[in-house]
Amino acid sequence: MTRTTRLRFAPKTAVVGAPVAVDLRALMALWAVLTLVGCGTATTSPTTNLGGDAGGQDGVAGDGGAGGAGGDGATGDGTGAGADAAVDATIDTTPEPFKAPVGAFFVTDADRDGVLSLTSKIDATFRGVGTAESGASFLANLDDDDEDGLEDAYDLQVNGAKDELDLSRVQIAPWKDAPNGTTARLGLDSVAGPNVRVWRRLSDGTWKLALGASAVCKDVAQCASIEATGLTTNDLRDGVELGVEGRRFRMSADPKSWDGTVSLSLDVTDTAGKPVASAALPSGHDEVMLRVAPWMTFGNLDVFDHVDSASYYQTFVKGIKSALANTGIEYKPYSTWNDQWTQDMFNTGYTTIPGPGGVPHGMRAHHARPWGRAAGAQWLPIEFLRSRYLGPNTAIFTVYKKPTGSTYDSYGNHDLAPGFVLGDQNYPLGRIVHGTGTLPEYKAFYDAQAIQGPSVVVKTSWLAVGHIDETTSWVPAQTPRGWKLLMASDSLGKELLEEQVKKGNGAVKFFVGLKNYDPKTDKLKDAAVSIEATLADVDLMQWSQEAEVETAGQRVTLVDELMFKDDEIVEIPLLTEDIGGKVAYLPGMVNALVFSNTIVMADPFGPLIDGADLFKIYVDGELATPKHGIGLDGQGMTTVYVDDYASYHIALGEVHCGTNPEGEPASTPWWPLGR
Amino acid sequence: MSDSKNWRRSGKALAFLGTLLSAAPALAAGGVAIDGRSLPAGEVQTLERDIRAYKATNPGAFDALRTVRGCSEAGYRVARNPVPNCSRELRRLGPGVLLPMLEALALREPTGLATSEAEKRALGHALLQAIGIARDTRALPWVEAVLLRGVRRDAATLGFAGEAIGRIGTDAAVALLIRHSVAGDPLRLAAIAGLGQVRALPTAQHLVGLATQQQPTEVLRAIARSLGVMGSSWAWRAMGPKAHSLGLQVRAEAAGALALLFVLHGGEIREEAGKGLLMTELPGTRAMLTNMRSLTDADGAKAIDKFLSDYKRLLPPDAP
Repeated sequence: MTRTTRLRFAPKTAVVGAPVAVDLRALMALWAVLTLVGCGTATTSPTTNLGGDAGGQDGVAGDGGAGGAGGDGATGDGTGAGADAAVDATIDTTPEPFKAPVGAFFVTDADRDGVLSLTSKIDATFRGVGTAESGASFLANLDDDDEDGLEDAYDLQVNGAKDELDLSRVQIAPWKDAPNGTTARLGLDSVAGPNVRVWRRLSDGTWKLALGASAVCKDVAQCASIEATGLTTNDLRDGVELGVEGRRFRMSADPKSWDGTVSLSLDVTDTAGKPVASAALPSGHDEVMLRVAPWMTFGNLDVFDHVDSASYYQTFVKGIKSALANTGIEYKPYSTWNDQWTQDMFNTGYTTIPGPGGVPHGMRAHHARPWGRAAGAQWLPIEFLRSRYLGPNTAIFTVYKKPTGSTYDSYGNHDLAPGFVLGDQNYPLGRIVHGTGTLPEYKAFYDAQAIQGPSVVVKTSWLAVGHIDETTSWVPAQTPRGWKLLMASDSLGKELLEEQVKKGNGAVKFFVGLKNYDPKTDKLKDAAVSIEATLADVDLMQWSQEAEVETAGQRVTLVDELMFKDDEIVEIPLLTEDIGGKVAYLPGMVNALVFSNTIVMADPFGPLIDGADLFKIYVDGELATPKHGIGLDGQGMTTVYVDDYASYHIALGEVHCGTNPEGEPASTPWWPLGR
Repeated sequence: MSDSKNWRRSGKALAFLGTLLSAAPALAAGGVAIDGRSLPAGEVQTLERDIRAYKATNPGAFDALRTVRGCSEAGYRVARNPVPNCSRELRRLGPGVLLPMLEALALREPTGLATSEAEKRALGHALLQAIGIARDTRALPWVEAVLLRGVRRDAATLGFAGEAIGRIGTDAAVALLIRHSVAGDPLRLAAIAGLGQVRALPTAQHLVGLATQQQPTEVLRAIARSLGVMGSSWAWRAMGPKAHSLGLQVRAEAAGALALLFVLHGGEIREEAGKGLLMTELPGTRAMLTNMRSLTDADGAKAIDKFLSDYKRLLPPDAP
């Protein structure tokens, strides 16, 4: 197994006994000479490092070295890569150009510029699994570029030019002077085998499976794999281009699970099977690691280009359509699926690797809930995703082990605190927040991605539906964090009503225009209820206070985990009832769709004071003004209220539950996080 | 006698029976939560009579009950959490459907509202909650019957029955709950839940007494929850100014016991006691907990500090 550590200059000076103020330029020059003559360091170090002046990585430490022209003998145990970076960046502003050593060896996009380059010291020398500075990665290739209805990683072919873009390239550098009879064994580690495919590009431009899963099998446990393949002398002389694709994401950090890496090995031998040394590979052996790119989810501050919802309820659809008008966000509600809870069915996200120029390249990647609304596999949400989302640059997958689960596994219970970097909290792409009760594989999956985790778990079991979106939401703000948290507040709901009683408005009613049955008249009657009657409802007040206490507990968790200050939380009024668990009595405004500078909330049907809805007026004052610095420019957001009473509220959800946005993968790369 | 004659005779008998059935109310074969045949005949007759009279004047109330969909698959399948639940629908119908609800609970299962066992259980929960909230003493015999002789003995059903009895809250209802709240009684947790709905000083003192005894964890947790519910400052405020003085006394009793539970216990009991303290919202809670530091160990003291810090927003200021 390789290790990834940075080469530091200090050990080198220590070895040569030089004082701290060593002449670094002279040392660099000496290093370059060593590289050019290819004398390597096999005699001075058990770890020969490819990379000359770089000192390189420790590469295949412990197995004789990854090949190393001019490696860094002084590093001895091979500690570390990136010495050149440290030196170049801080002292030597005119580094010597890198010259690749002679021989066959692996080249990866370890410098993350989207290009394989023999003149990139890091591409040619980095051998580890990835640090903040270096390391190659590959995509879980679960989109469908050839639009055959099957994920690209689930068939035995490369699916056209678009699909080629999703393969991470690995080059075996050409060794023009490879002696006659020299061959090589190209291998990969057996654990990674069923989880990946390694394709080899042939001279005619087509791709042939070289390593990895050897059958069309979605179940990794059942999948046989090719773990080694031979290369001829001519292959070595011409060089070999490989393309790596993942067949799944890393699903767990459990040591018994696949750790998301693939280790490729190259053993160059003669006709007798003895190692053939070259300048690049004195031991005849090379080994390089790549990691599967993480899955990341979207948060409210991401840029969306599409919002989905069901088309069943015209009032709701009209409201969402109006909110999205002239935003450039596409809205085409579906009528072909038996589930109006669009947020809950699938979790939208993406995955990326470095593309040209280091710009993230990847695909949208959405995973599906483990249960549907009717019996039969055809009603599982993965089939909805297959029919509506799977396609070029949009992947679909599942996290669950088998179709099961409960309301907690709906994705209204899985959210993302938007990106922030504060103190030792380094989550530029956000941090996943989800409620209690989820299947264990979800937390394992989120945490294994490492970028937006470890996830924060907030208690939601006291809610009848049990979703985190019933009490929290996130909006942009001009603050150091860049956003604020909205939290439902029953005390605020009560206080707003109490204020109106003091002002003599206790008889004013809310829920005006909604209907209930009246047994006294045996007819439908206005469901309106007065402020006074509401505040005198002993049960409603007890339930609302219980909700207030539970929400306060959620707040404590979020403050502890995300280091909130009080002024980073804005409360949104609510009253709560009990149906065997708590649920919004007033239409839950905090349960909102947020995009860009707009927040779409449930119409609260609050009491009309001087012709204006008390709750809307209050919320507008909080969110649509500069009061809290909320909004992209801190001047407030556009607030939109949609009537979801009959369509969603009475069925125990609100606007966020009925919608689901997605967009292009975030432009912020994950790889500098080095985790 | 020929077969055809037999058939004709049988047919006439069936037709006659059908006429009888259509003229009279369906026989009480048992409701969602009680087997009506197990109840005293006098009570059944009284309820039947009340139902007939109400049906004559308010047939729509019975129709309204039949419109409830959340406990049948067609209804809950589309709900956000697709499990049977019709509590909100039943409550929205209001106290005007009390008699139709009692009929469904005790005498005749309504058709089409619930089919599977889980659906019937959920319908029972919803009926018990809605009936309890109506706070109509006519319902007491029937919710008592659910607690004592109901066809379903799961903890949730018994808990809803206990709470309904507590909400009705007559002397007899309270006496029943107190009787079953003692150690060893199989209905103990349900009775304690019910007592939480009785906002009265003697009941508070009874629960406080239980809280100071050696009890299993689940019992202490239930007591803590009931003390919080009983001491809910918002509920007392909803009861109006006349209840203010009594409310303060009950809240003080509850808060004192909750503080002790918080200090002397850990885990679930401490968590529930903390929530209860926030519910009682009693001025002086901060000082009371601080003064109890000497009763606990280092972990307890740490828990007190964290609680006071975490929930300072919800704790009222101490008196100067």
